[in-house]
Amino acid sequence: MINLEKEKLLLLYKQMLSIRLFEDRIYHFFLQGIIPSTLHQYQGQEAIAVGVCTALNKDDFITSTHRPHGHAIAKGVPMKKITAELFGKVTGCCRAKGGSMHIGDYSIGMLPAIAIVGSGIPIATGVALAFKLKKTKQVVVSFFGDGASNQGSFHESLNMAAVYNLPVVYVCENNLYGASTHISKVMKLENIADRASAYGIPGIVADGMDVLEIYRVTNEAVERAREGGGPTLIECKTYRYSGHSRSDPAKYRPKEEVDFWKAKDPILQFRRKMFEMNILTQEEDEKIKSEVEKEVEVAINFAIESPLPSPETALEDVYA
Amino acid sequence: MPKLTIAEAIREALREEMMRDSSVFLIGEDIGIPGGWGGPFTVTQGLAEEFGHERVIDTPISETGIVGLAIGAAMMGFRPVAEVQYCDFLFCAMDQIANQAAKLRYMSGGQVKVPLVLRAPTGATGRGTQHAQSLEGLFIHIPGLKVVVPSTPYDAKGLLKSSIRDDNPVLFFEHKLLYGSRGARKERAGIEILGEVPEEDYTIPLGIADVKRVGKDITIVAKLLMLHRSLEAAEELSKEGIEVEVIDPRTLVPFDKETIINSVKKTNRLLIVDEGPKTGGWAAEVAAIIVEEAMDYLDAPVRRLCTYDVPIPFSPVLESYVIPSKERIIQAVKEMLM
Amino acid sequence: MPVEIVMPKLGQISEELTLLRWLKKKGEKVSKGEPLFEVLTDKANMEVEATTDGILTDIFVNEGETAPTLTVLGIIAKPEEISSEEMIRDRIKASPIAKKLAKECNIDLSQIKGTGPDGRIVKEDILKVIQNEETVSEEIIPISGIRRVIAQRMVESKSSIPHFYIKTSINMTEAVNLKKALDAYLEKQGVTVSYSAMIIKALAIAFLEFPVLNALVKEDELHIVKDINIGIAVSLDDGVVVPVLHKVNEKTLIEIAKELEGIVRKAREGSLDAKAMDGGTFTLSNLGMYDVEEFTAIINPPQVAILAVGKIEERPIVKNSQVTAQWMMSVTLSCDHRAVDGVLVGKFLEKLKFILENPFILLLGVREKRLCL
Repeated sequence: MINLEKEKLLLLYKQMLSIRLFEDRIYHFFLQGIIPSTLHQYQGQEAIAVGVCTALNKDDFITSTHRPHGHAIAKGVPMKKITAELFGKVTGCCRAKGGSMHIGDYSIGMLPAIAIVGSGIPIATGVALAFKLKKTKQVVVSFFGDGASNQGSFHESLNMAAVYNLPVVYVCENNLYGASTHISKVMKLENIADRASAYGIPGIVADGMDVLEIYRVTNEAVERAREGGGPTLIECKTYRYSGHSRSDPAKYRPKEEVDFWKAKDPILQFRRKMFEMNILTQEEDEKIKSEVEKEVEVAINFAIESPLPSPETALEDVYA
Repeated sequence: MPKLTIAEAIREALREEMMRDSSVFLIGEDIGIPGGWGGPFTVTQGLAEEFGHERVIDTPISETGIVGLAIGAAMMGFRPVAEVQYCDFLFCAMDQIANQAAKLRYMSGGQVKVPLVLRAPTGATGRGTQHAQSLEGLFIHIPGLKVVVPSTPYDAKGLLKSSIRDDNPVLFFEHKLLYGSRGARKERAGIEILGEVPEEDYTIPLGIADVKRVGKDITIVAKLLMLHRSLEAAEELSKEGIEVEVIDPRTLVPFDKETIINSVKKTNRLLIVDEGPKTGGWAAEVAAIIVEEAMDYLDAPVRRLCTYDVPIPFSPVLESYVIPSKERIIQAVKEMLM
Repeated sequence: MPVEIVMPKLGQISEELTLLRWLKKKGEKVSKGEPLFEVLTDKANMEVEATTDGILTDIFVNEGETAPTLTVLGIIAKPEEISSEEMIRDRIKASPIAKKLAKECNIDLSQIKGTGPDGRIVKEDILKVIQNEETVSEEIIPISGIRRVIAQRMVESKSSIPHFYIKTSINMTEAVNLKKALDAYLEKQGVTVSYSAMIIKALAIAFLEFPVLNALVKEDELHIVKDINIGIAVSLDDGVVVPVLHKVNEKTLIEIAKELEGIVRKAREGSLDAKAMDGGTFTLSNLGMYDVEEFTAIINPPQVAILAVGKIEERPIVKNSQVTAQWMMSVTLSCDHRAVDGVLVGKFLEKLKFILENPFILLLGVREKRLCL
């Protein structure tokens, strides 16, 4: 697990930190009312986005959800493009047409995020179909949450992916809640991964707070897919620190539960490990932290200074 | 020039486009099964044999999956032609059609395009309520989609080619009674429309209507089966000295309103005949356009002749009651000329 | 209470009047005393005022139509008396294309009866109007207004009066000389003596001996009138009016000349009043200024005769077996044979001729029906 080169480990760490600091900073602007819409934030789940995306090649693709910021940063969407989109500026990744829930950047392999729960899964499966037909060895990861695994689209997609043997890795981020509903209320199974056997594909349960484990299992699944081994369902057990959205105070969650999961914080956990193994010094940590903070600030300032789109552009980009 | 049925014309279009462009593939239920039907209306017969099963993909009964997969592939450079067996089943995939396909380009700020064609047989055929709807009008209300309604073999081939080459999601509605399918799949009440179809490559641009019959006393705009009923009605009315101008819109989105406005300027009367239900239907949209933009030329109120606002019933006597007949068209024209 | 607008009784002979023009539109506000519409009597146009304040809500008789006196022509109602139902009912229903065409061709929709559903005016109704205006290759001018009145009267005259005509030529050479002298004498006063004035005076003198020609035929009776009121035909753009010079028997030539000038001017201006048209006993029609040699006029009933006068021109005349150039004028008297016969008329004309050929007579006074110096 720790056999990764230092470079890679630091990358994993920096990426997680980037997501955390970005999300925390963005929240500040949300509270000031500068970001027009609500936000669905990713704090607590960083290990999954980073672990998965680091296992992908540059030309592999991901599809995402209404909670896309972590995936976007991990896959490589420039922070500036994300902040500008959140602020509704024309320099945003979607030219201010999409907003928080549709972040994406085709040029680095992230399709526009899909905000309808579960609706991105068939689309990701179609991407995999394209890769198979083109015979390119590219792989697509479909991110979705525990709630989505109850959608019909999940069932149809995994079934077809299995039947056609498509190069897709389904990554289910089980943060225990579909909006405000605890998973035990809506599923009889203990693990979502157990559903994989219904389609004849492998189902893996992984610790969503351990970035190295996520990285490892994703690697295996991606290799399998690339070699024509077909799809895999990976269930990552995780937790979101924020409410469903920033308008949600999440009073439906017991404090003990929140504390339990925060104690397993993926960034703290990983930093501790790296300190222990002397891969990271305090100094280096500070350096990385201040680099990330600076990057975030630059991105924020870029967004603040960017112009708004002119209103008539609302009529553009309907048709190609 | 050979005379083809609409089913044959569509097959020819698919075949030619698949030959011309390797990114075109077909995906749907029962379309390529060896020894099978070639789809519910014989359209894809022979194509799997010619192009293989990676280009004619049979699916489980999973409309959401079919459309979703097609969308994903379309964003990655393919031009899928997906199909549902009856347009009623479009509702099963409605989220993928309306929330995804129609919006992906726009919400990504133009980063992606979805060059997808979704073929759907439409119209009532004595099979009961859930296999009988005419849903073309519903889809004009979703910005980002295009809607095509070919009524003749010549139009079908040319329009399908344009639809496949279009970079946007296109809903391509084919009327079940107009296919002219033969053999075991022949529709009992079907009309065989044979038309001359050029063998060479030709396209008909989307957004151009066609005056199928020139007249001077009144304009009828109608599509699919209703177009043919209107033409029959026009022939009969001609014997009484009433000359009806019949316009085939060919596409609902983009919509050629200019041709209709010019016709109304000449005839001063407009009747829209539509197999969809009356309330909030396509006919209402056409009427609104004409009242907004050609009001000064109207000599009588614009009128819509549509199916009654009921689900389509099964028994033939009930079904033919609710859907506009040639007689009802003739009656409506005469009332408007009084 | 809504007030009826009625066809007025204006003391005219005919019982029917023509409504020439509405001066207000339907739906317009009207004030008491404001001119509301114009009628044509036998003789002149007259404005009629509104008798109350309100809105002109209804028009029953249209421009150009005739109606008997006391016919209800329209309604004036107070605004609060107009129901919204009426207002909706009064809204002209026309299809958009009909409205467009009507506007382009200046056709008044309120004048058209619609043949569409619910009385809607449709395109065809407008096209018919246009077609009617176009298919005619000739220009159609309706005979209305003054023309119509004249037409009616002339028909009446010609069909009921047994006309006969006697013509003679009068040597006006002396009259020409007298006119020159008089005009020169009166130049400072700005008066000219027209030939018509001279003829009028001559007629008046001649009537002293032939009173039966200054009479009115009323059924079986011949009313010989004491006053000599000679009407002079004046042509206007749309017809002829005949203002009357009253009591010429009591007037001198100069007075007649002045009055005649005034009356002709007023007639041309359209400012004659009803009195000016009343009471004529004889009519003079002079077309001399138009290069007309002679013509025959139609009697103005109930008068007995009318004198038609042609131009004064130099003609070769044999006098004392010598051919000389003399100023000659042809006159034709049309007479009602029920009242007079040829011999009497011939003698009358002889007398008239004598007066005009010895025009100093025109300067004589008249006392108790006798000429005097």
